[in-house]
Amino acid sequence: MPRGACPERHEILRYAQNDTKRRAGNDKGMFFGSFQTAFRIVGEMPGNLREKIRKYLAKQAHLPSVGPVSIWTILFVIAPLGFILYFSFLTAGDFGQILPIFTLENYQALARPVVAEVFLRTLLFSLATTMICLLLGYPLAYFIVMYGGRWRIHLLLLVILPEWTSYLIRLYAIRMLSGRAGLINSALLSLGLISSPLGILYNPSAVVLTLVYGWLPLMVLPVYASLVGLNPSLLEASADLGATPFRRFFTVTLPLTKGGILAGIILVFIPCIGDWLVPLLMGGTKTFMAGNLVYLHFISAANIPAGSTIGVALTAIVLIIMYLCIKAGGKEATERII
Amino acid sequence: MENRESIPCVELRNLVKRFPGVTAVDHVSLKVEKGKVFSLLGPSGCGKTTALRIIAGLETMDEGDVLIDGKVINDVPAYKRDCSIVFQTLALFPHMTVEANVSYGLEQRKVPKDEIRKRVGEIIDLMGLGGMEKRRPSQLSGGQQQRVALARSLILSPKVLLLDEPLASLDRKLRKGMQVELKRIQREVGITFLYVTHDQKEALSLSDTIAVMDKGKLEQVGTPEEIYETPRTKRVADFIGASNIFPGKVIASGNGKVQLETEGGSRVIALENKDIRSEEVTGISVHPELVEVLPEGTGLEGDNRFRGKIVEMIYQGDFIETKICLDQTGGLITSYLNSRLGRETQFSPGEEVLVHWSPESSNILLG
Amino acid sequence: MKRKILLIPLALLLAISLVATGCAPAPEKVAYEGYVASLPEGCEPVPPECFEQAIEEGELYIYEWAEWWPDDIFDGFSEEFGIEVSRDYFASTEEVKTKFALYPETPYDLVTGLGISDAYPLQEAGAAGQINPDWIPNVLEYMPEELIEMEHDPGMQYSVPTDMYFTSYVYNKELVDDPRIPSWSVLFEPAEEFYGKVTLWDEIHEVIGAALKYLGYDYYSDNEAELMEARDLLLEVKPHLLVFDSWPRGLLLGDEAWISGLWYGDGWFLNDEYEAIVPALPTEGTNLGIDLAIHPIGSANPAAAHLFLNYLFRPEVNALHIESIWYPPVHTAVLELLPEEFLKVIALPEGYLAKCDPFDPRAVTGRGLELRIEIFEELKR
Repeated sequence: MPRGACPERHEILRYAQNDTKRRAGNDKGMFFGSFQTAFRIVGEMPGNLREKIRKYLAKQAHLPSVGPVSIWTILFVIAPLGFILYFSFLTAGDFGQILPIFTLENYQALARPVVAEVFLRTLLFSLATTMICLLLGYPLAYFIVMYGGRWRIHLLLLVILPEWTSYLIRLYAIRMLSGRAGLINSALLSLGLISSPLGILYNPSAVVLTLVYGWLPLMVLPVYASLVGLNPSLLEASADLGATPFRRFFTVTLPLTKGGILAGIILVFIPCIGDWLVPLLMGGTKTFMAGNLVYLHFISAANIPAGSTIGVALTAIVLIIMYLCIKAGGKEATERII
Repeated sequence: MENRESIPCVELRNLVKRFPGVTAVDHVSLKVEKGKVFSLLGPSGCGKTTALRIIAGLETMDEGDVLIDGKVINDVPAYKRDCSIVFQTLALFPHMTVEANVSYGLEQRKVPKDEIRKRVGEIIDLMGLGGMEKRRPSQLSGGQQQRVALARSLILSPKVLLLDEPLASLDRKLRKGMQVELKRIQREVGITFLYVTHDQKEALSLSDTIAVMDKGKLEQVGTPEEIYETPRTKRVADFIGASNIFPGKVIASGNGKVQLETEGGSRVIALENKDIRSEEVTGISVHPELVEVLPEGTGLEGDNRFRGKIVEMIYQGDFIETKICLDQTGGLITSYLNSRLGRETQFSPGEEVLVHWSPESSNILLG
Repeated sequence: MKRKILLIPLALLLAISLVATGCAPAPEKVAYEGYVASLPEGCEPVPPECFEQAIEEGELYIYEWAEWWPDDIFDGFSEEFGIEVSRDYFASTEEVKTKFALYPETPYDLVTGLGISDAYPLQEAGAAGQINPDWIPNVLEYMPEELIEMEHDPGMQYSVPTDMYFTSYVYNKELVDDPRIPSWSVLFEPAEEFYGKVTLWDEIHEVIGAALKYLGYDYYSDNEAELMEARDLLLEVKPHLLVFDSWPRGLLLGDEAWISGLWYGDGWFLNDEYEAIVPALPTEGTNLGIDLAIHPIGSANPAAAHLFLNYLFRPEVNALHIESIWYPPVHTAVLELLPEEFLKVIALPEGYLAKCDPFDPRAVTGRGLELRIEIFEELKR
C-alpha cells in the first residue's frame, strides 16, 4: 500500500513524467525559447569563438533540418496531444479502463463550478507570477545590459545558472530554507526580529513566489535580448531631442522592447499555467491549480478521459493566450519566442 | 550689438577626451560663427565625431570647456542642451510615424498641441515630406529618411545643428542632391551647422569654414579656398588631395621667389610669402591637376621642370591619373590630365616626358 | 503512452536493479529433487511441471513499490533457482493503474504492494491473470482461510495477499496533548491550538474512508447521505489543514506537522526514525487493508511467478519481508519468528480487527466511486 519509502524518487518520477509531458505538450514556447536564448548567448560571445560557431552552423546548414524537426514535433508534440484529444471523447470504465465509446459528457462536465474556480485561480496565480517576473526581470535585464559592460554575459549566466540545477532539487532547497525550522526562520529568530517562526510555505504567496523564482530567467532572457538589440543611438537621439531619462525609457526603450516583454510574458505564463509541482510542494490547501486537477482525475481518480478533457481545455486556453499575445506583439514577439 | 555678434555660437576651449589607449580629442580649441556652416574634416578616427558628441552632451570630456552662445555647458545634460544632432545612422524611431518622429522633440518640451501641429506642418513642407506623415521610417527611401532626421532636429530651432556624417549612408547621386538641399535649408532657417565629415569634397562645397583634424589634433582652420589651395601641413595637404608632397628646405630667396632643395636633391621654386619665415618651411605640395606633362623634346629651361617616365595611367573619367617617375630623384609625381584634351591623351605608359608646374602652384608647407 | 514517458527513469532504475541482482553468482540449474529436499520443514513444494517450467523460463519481472521490499528476498530467490529477477519500481499505485489501463498486457510477471482498492479495479479491468492454485501449495499452506475466501476474489484466483495495512494517524507526543487520542476526532476535529499543524493524505479512499469511519459509517460505504456527511466534515476541517500529503515525513520530522493522517505501518516506520512521532490506532476502528500481489495477463514467466509466491511464503522469507516493511503479516506462521519488540509494534489490541471494515468493492465502483471523486475534488479545489 502507498508508503512513500522514498518520497524523493516518487516526486522525481512524477516530475520527470510531467516534465516530459509539459515539454511535449503545451510548453513548446519554453523549449524553443531556450534555443533562441542559446543563439542570443552565442551572439554575445567573443568574436573568434562566435566565428567558429558560425562556421560550424554554416557547414550544417545544408543538412535537411526539416526531417528531424518534423519527426520530433510529431513524436513529442502532435502525437501526445492527439492521444489526449482522442481520450477526451471516450468513456472511462469503472476500473480505470478507457472504453472506446464516444461521448461528449467529459466536455459537458467542464461546466462544473470546480473547474471554473480552479482555472480562475490558475490564471490568477500565473498572471501574478508573470507580472512579478516582469517587474523584477525587466529592471534586472536593463541593469545587466546598461551597466553590465564586459561583465554582461557573466551576469546573464548568473541569472541562468540556477536553471541548470534540477527544478525539483531547487524546490526542495527552498523548502528546507523556508520551513519553520529552516535557515530563514532560524536566522530571523536568532536576530530577534521575530518571536515565533513565520509560516512562509504552504500558502498562495509561497506558490507564486516559487513560480517567480523558477521562471524569472525566462523573462530576463528575451527582455535582455531585445534590450541588447536596441540601437543605442536611438536613446541618444531621444536625449538629444530633449527627453529626460524617464521619458526616454517610456517613449523609446519600452516600446522598442515590447517584443521581448511579450515573449517573456508568454514564456513565463505558459509553464505557470501548466505547473502542478509547485502547488504540490509549496502550496497548502488553497493553492490547487489546473495541473493538480488534471492529476486528480488522470491519476488519483484513474479517469483518463476526464483528466484528458481538462488537459485539452488547459491547452486550448494556453493556445488562445499565446495567439492573443502574438497578435499584440506582432512579428517581433513571435520571432523572439521561436 | 557689436559685442553680441562677436560671441561665437559654439566654442571649444582646450577640449581633451581620452579613451583607453588613445587621446581622441587632444587640446582642441575652436570657435564656430553664428549662422555659418562649420565643418570638421578628417579621416575616420581623427576625433571629429567625438568632439561633436561632446558638444551634444552624449560624451563627457576629460578637460576643457564647451560653450554654446558664450555659456559654459560642461555639466548640462544632453536633454537640456540647446543643440541637436543628426546621427550618421539617422536614429529615427522605428516605432513612430514620420509625424511622431518630427514632433518628438516638441512634445518633450511640452509645447502646446496646436503649436506642435502647426510647426510640424511647416517643417514637413520645408523638407518636402508632404504625404509621408503617417509612414514609418522603414517605409521611406534613404533620402526621405534623411529629411525626416533633419526635420526632427530643425523643428526645435536649435542654436546649432550638429551633423555627424549625415549623408554617409546615401549613394553618390543622392548625396550630391542632399548637399544642395542642405545648403538651401541652412540658408532658409539660418541655423548654425556644425558638420562632421571625412569627405573633403562635401566639406569644400558645403562649408563657410573648415577645420581639419587628425589624430585628435586640430591641423588647420580656414575657408574652403584656404584649406584647398594653401594647406599648411603635410597631413592637410595629403588629406585635401594635394598629393604631391616634397619635403625640403629653403636654400635661397629673392625676386619674390624662394628656392627649396627637396630631400631627393631637386630644386623646386615657390612664390615668396611675406608671412612665412624661411626656417619654418618644411616642404611644398602641388595639386596633381596643376602638374603639366609635356612631350620629351620640350626644353628644360625655367622653374620646376623635370624629366621623367610615365609608369602608370589610370582612367578616372573626367581625368587621367598619371604617375611619373622622376629621373633625377626616382620619386613619383602625380598629374591629372584632362581626358578631353587630345594632345595629352597621346601619352602612354613607359614614355619619356617632361613634368612642369609654375612657381605659384607650389604650396609652402609648414609642418 | 505512459510507458514511453516513463522509459528514461525506468531504464535507469532497471539498470540499477540489474547491477544489483547481477552481483549474485549464477548457480548451476537446480534439480527438482534437490529443491524438494532443501525446503524448510513445513513448506510445500510446487509440482514438478511448475518447477521445470520456471527453471526453463529463467527470469522474473517484478513491478513493485520503490525501495520497499528488501533486496535479500529477491537475491535469495535468484541464488537458489538461478532465475534472474528484474525489478521495476512505481512511486504510486495510480501509476500502476494508469499503466495497465492504457496497456493491460504490460508484460510483468508479478505486481506487488497493491492495496486492495487498487488491485481490485485491476482485477475487474481484466489486467490480472488467473493464479493456478495447484502451483502455490505453500501459499495455501500458510494463508488464513478468511483471506483465501475474500469476497472480492474467492479462492485467490487473481490476487495473493502479502501483508495488512490500516489507515490511521500519527501525532507528535511532545507537542500534542489531547485526551481524545487515539480517536479519529483528534484528526478530523482538531483542537484550535493545532490549527495549521494537521495534514491529511492526498488519497481519495483514505481521506473519505477515514472520515466515514469517524462518523460511525462503513469505511467503504457508498451511501450518498453518509458520504455527504463525510464531505461536510472534511470541508470543515480543510481550513485548519497544513497540506494534503500522503507522505508528510519531512513535515513531521521538522515539527511542521503535528498530527498527520498516515498508514499505521508507516507510523511505526517514522517512530523508528523520530521517537516523538507515535501512531494511533483509532478508537472508532478503521479499514482492514490487504496488500496484494497480482499476476498480470501479459506475464511471460507464469511458472517463475508461482515459484516466487511459494518462496515468499516460506516463514523465514516472510519474516524478512515483514521486518523490513513494519506492516502486519498475513502469514500464519511468521509471528513466532519475529523479534519481541517488533511483535509489540504490529500486534493489535484485543478485538480490534472486529472494528475494522473489510474491503467492499462498492467504494471503488459505480456511485461509490463517483461520489468519492466529487467529494475529493470539492475538498482539494
